[in-house]
Order: sequence, then C-alpha cells, then structure tokens
Amino acid sequence: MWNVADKTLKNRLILGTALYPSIEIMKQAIIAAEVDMVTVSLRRQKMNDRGNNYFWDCIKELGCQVLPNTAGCRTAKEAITTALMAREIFNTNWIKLEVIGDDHTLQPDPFELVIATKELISQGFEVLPYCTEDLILCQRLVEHGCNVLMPWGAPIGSGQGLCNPFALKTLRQRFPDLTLIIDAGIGTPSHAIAGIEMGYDGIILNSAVALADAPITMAKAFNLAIKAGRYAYEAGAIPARELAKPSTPLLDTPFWHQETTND
Amino acid sequence: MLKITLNGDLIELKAACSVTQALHHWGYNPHDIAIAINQIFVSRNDYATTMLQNNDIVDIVAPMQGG
Repeated sequence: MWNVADKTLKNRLILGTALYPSIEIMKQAIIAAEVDMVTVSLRRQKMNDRGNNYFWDCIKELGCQVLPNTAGCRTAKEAITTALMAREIFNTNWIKLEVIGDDHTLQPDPFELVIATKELISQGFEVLPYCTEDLILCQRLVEHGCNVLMPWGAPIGSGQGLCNPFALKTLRQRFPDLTLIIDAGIGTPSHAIAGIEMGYDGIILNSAVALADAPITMAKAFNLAIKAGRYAYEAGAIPARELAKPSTPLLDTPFWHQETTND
Repeated sequence: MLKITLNGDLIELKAACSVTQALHHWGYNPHDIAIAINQIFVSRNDYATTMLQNNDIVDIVAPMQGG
C-alpha cells in the first residue's frame, strides 16, 4: 500500500489504457498487472457513437480508479478546459496534467504547465503534472501546491528508459518526502525497476505493455518487476565498489597464511 | 437558423435553443459527456440556461483510452 495525495493504492504501477490490440486485451492486461488505477482520456464523441462507449463500460466494470489526462493539449487554456470536462465526466478532481510543447519529443511545455497548474489547483484540483526532470520547474510546481510530480523518463512511447538518471536522482534527493512517479519513456521491466530502486514511488506506463508482442504477459512482468524493485529499495542495496571483496570468509580456509616451501 | 460547429463539423439548427435542447436534438445522453463552447467549459448544471449562439464552436467529449 502507498499513498498518492489523498488516495491509497496497492500497486505502484499505474497503467495506461490506450494502444492495445483490442479492448478485451486491455482488460486482461489490467487484470494481469493487478493495478488499481488506470489513466484515461477524453475525445470528441462522434455523432454515430453517442450512447455507446464499450471502453468506458469496461473500465467501470473493472472497478479501477481513474486518472484522467489532458493529452493533446498545447496551451494552459486547453488543458484547463479539458481538466474541467474530465472532472465532470469522471467525477474526480485528479488530473494528469499534460501540456505538450514539442510535437517530435512530446516534451512538456514548462511555462504553460505552471500556468495551468496554478489555475487548476486554485479550482480544487489535485494536479499530477507530467513534467520534465528539470529541478527548477519541479520546484515551481511544488510551490504552487503539487503533492505529486511525474517527470518523464524519456519521450512518450520511446521505450528508452531513464535517459537522465542523474537529474532523476537529484529530484529524489531534493524532494525526499514528495510522491514522485516516473511517467513516460519506460520500455522494459528493467527500466521500471531502475526507477523504483532509485526511490521513485511509482511508475506510469502504457506503450511498453500495450504494444508488446504479448501485452498480457508484459503486464504481469511489469507488475512483478515493480514489486521486486520496491523490495530492493526497502532492503537497501550495497554500495558499488571498484574492486572485489570476497564473499567467502578466508580466515581458516586451508593453507591460510601458510608459507609455501620448495624443499 | 444557427450555424454551429459541432466537433469540427458545420451543422445547422433551425431555431435558437439551449444546450439541453440541442443535446436532446442530437441524441446525446448528458450524463456521459462533457461540453465546451468556444473552448470554455460548460457545466452540466448550466445546460438548461446556456443558449447556443450563431457561429458557436461546440466540443462534446466522452471517455476514451488514454496513456
């Protein structure tokens, strides 16, 4: 169990719901991952689709908590309006705030992000900002009232893992009591483990599971990996050393400190 | 006659009407959607008293997969 703002979750993995080969596989992946929170989004409701939303019916049936995002927004104004719409539809004041500044990297726009964060918090939102690992940006977000930060590991969907571990470690050190979640860029379970072993509280990912050859199996792999990573973090890893240190005690081994003779 | 852009498509309404009336006309269930008019959020509580204007841009959204 871990606390994220005012919620308690069992699993440190939060799973996205997009890009799966089918809704059925998405459902099975969510079950296999044992997650209790999933990310969702909003899109225009087509005239011929109205009243028929199998996806949303499935999510409600699974009973997961939802974390709506503002994906696709490029200005604070768009993100604020989208967040307000999400709050009404999903009946939650939580928002995964995404304000994209570059189409090629999907890098967050830090300036618009701060503006949107400030406004949404003033309107009672629990803002979980998708941000870069920039320390000063993160400081501003915290100053405006964010209880959670969600720096990227790498560009969304790139699967590159943690591109800037130094900065991610710095954030962990500078915000020792804040909930930190790595959001985006994770490709393999080992990437997720690295983040959790670093002390990050959780991982949000989507593409790494949804686009895997076998999404349901990959969902299980991430579930186990993140649990293993957390155990490792709590256990405390040994410091890395430059030279070897024998694991087998040498005292009283045969021939210990015995002079060799060549008589 | 009102010209409305609904989710990017230009449509016409024969007479002035509220958001509640427009949603009914278009066949939407107001409990499954959210609305912005001219990029400004309109709360469900205000549907009945919000009148659509000529050239309004209406976005109606619903839950969708997201990462």
